[in-house]
Formats: sequence, C-alpha cells, structure tokens
Amino acid sequence: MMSSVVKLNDVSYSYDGTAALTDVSIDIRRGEFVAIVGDNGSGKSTMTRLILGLLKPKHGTVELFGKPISQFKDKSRISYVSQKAASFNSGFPVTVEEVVAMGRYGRLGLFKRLKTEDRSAIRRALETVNMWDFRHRKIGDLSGGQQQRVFIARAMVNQPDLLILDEPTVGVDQKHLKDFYDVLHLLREQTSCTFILVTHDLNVVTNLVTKVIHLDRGSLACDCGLKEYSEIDQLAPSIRPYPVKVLIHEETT
Amino acid sequence: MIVDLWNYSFLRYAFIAAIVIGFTAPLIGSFVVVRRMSLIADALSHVTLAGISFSLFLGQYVALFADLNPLYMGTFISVLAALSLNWLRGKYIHFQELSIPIMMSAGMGLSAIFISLSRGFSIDLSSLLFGSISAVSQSDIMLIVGVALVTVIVILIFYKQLLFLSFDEEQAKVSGLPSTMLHILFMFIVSLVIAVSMRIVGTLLVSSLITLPVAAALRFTSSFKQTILWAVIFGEVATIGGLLFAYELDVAPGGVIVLIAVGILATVMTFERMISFRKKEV
Repeated sequence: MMSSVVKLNDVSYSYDGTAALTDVSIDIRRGEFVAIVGDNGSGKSTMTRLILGLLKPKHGTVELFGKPISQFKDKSRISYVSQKAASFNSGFPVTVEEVVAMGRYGRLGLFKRLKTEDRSAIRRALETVNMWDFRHRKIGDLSGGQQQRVFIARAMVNQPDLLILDEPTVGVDQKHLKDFYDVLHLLREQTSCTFILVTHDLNVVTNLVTKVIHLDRGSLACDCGLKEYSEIDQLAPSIRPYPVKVLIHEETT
Repeated sequence: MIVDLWNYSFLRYAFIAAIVIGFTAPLIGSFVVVRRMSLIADALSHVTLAGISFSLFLGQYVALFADLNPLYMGTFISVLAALSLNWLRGKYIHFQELSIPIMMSAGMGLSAIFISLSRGFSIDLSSLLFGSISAVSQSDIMLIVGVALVTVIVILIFYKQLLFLSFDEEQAKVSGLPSTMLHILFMFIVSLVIAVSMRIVGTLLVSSLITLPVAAALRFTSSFKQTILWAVIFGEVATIGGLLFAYELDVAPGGVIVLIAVGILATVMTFERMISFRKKEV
C-alpha cells in the first residue's frame, strides 16, 4: 500500500466561533489524484489551507508525509496553485521567467543565486507547459490561460511530491480551460506526484481522479472512489453529488 | 556652481545626500509601490516630523538633546511607527488601509503640539516641510550613508525573498519563507530611508521621491530588475537636477526635485502614448 502523503485526524476549524470544518479525517496516499468538491462555504479552502499549514487546526492533527505538520520542514516537496493566482496584480513588473524562478526561492536560502541546475529546472518547467518562448514577457501581458500555465510551471519547478490546486481555473475563460486541463493530463502522465484538486467542475477531470472527497457544510460527506461517488445518491441521499454519472457511463461504454 | 561646491561644505553635503537619497529612495520605493504600500511613506514621514520636533522641543530643556541631531530621534520614532503600523494592520484585517490615516494623524497631531510648545526652533519649519540645501550637516551625511549601506545590504541579501513576498505573499508563506520577519525587516528599512530623506525633500514631499520615479519606470519595464534600474536613474536625475535648480533659483529643493520627478513621469507617459499611437497607425 502506498505511503500516506496527507492525513487529517479529527480536524476541526472555526472562524471567530463559526465552524468551517468539523471532525474531518482523511488519508491521501502517494500517487492519488484527489478531487475535493462541495458547495461554497463547505470548507474546501479551509481544508486546503490547513494542509498547507496556512491555518492551524483548533482540534485534531494534520500529518504530511507521515510527520506532524509542525515537524515537516521540507516545504519544497509541496507546491500550490491558489485561486488567487489568477487575480494577481497584472501590472506587477515581473517576467514569466522571474515568476517561475520564485518557485526555487524557498529552497535556495539566503545569499545564494540561481545556479545552472535551477535555470535548467525553470526551462524544463516552462517547456512542459509550452511557455518557454514567452519567458521574457511580462506576466500581466499574457492571457488568463497562459498565466495559469505559468503558475503551474512555478508549482512544478521543484518537481514536488504533492501538488495542491485550489480552484485554479477561477477567472480563466472557457476558451483557455482546455489548455489548462491538457497540461494537467500531461503532468499526471509524466510525474509520480500526488494531486489534490479543489474544484466545482468534476466532469473535466473524471479520467484523472482516483478519489473524491465531498464536503458538506464543513463535514465529510463522502471519501470514496469516483465510481462509488457516482452512486452517491444511494449512499447518502442528503447530499447533492456533483454530476459525474453521465461521464462515467460514457467512459465505460 | 562647481566652484561653490568646492568652496562650501554645506553644498557638498547636500549633493552627497542628494546622490545617496536619489539612489536609496527609489530602490526601496520599487518594493513599496509593487506591494501597494505607497501611502505608508506619507504616514512615516509625518511621524518622523513628530520625532524631529519632539527632539527639538526636548533640546530646549534637556542638555543631552540640545546637541543631538534631531534626525536621530525622527528616525527612531519612524522605526517605532513602522512596527506599530504592522500591528495596526493586524487589528483591522478588513480595513488595513485605515492604519495609514491613523498613523499620519497621530504624527501630525504630535508635530503640531511640539512645534507650538517650542519657542524658536533652530531649524525653520519650511525646511522640515519642504527640505533644505543648507540643513544637511556632516552627521546627517553619516546617517544617510549608513542607512543607504544597510538598505543595499538588506536588498542584496533578501532580494529574492522580498520579490516573492511582494508578488504572491500566500505562495511565499507556503514555500517556507519567514514572511512576518521579512515584512518587519522591510518596514524597518522603509522607515529608515524615509526618515533620512527628509533633510533634502522634506516631510510633505518625501513620499514623492519614493513613488514617482517608480511610477515612471513601471510604465515601460517588464521585469522587476529593470524597474529598479530605471527608478534609480529617474531618482538620481530628479534629486541632482532638483538640487542644482534649487541652488540657482534659491528655492526649497523638495519642490524642484518633485517637479522634475513629475516631469519625468509626464515625459514617459507622453512618449508611451506616441509609441502606442504609432503602433496603431502601422
């Protein structure tokens, strides 16, 4: 059995006394592609921020790669593309190459400059998302889809073991959504990374997802495989499953 | 002018100060602007004025302060205010910009009280507000050069981290960067630069020297290093040119420096329009 990458044990979190997550336990294993779904306010982003260490649980524990999060120091093993990535200050004077280089800064330390191996990693990441030719362009001058590919490249530049994408397509127009998911498919094929994707649209990733975590008003409504999730109305009629049935049928036919 | 520079030490000090501040203010200003903290310079300069006037006030009653350069107290109060701003921003999570007018009002209120309590300042009020060529002393130069060295060293060491923090604070935190420590260090440097820049440009105009050269550079640069480079070039042109004109016209240097900076910005925007117009024609 694959080793544990993310483990939440009875985790609860509240904002000023209002519960956002209640007694949630999950175990995400190496190589899985996990989709976290749920309505607005269901606790998806809170869960993501707890996993990233941006929030501390009020109750329960978070473990990363088998260690309590407070003892986990190798942050370069985790990468993150936030929903805010698309709403950055587009006037900010940074080139595509500078943005991707930022992904290496966490592990570089003080006084150190980017070395040849860092430059190679930046080039590799940009080539993977087909953005190498745009490396000298200002990030704000690119389209939403291209920007999102650059943020994926920044996330992948350290070849992380865990990639967390928090609704990464917010603000990306329909025309460029396909580009984004094509890159995601490519990364899934080329790496052994574990993926956590917070999404409203499960349909676009049905052939990638191995597990679905459905949150409902801060509680874990479902933690199961995609097939079981498609039959959720029999499992738990109280929650509204995201419409994946049709696609699963299409895949099997 | 060249002969005067050779003959008068106060002119030499003013020019050294102008050259150093023309470099330091846009250097730190590049980070201030992209972090959308431009108004912080205004708040800190007003608080620095409170520190200077407090020192001058104390100088009338306490012998120790009579011989002390008031800029030291101004710098100290500016640093304290910068750290308090951080605390205030934390108290108003949803209205963080409120910390600026709160600090600015406190600074101006204290300045008004200490100035009115003092009987005959050794430095006149207009030089505090708009800068002065003759106000720069040898001890000011030591402080200005010292602050410039500290600023350059901090930027050289933490350039990557500060850039990352400025562009994407959340991602920087996830990457393990000590964001709180970096932010406090940044605010510390900003407060130092603002305090020492006051001698040349004055309280009311110091924020212009921090922001205007950067505003001009932002119009046409695509990378952050280019922005810093051009902001520093514009800053030097404004401060050196401003000081030359101020000396020849016998007016406050702060006003001329800022007007040259505004002129640079207007020129850049005009050329930018012409270029985009020509592109459309093609």
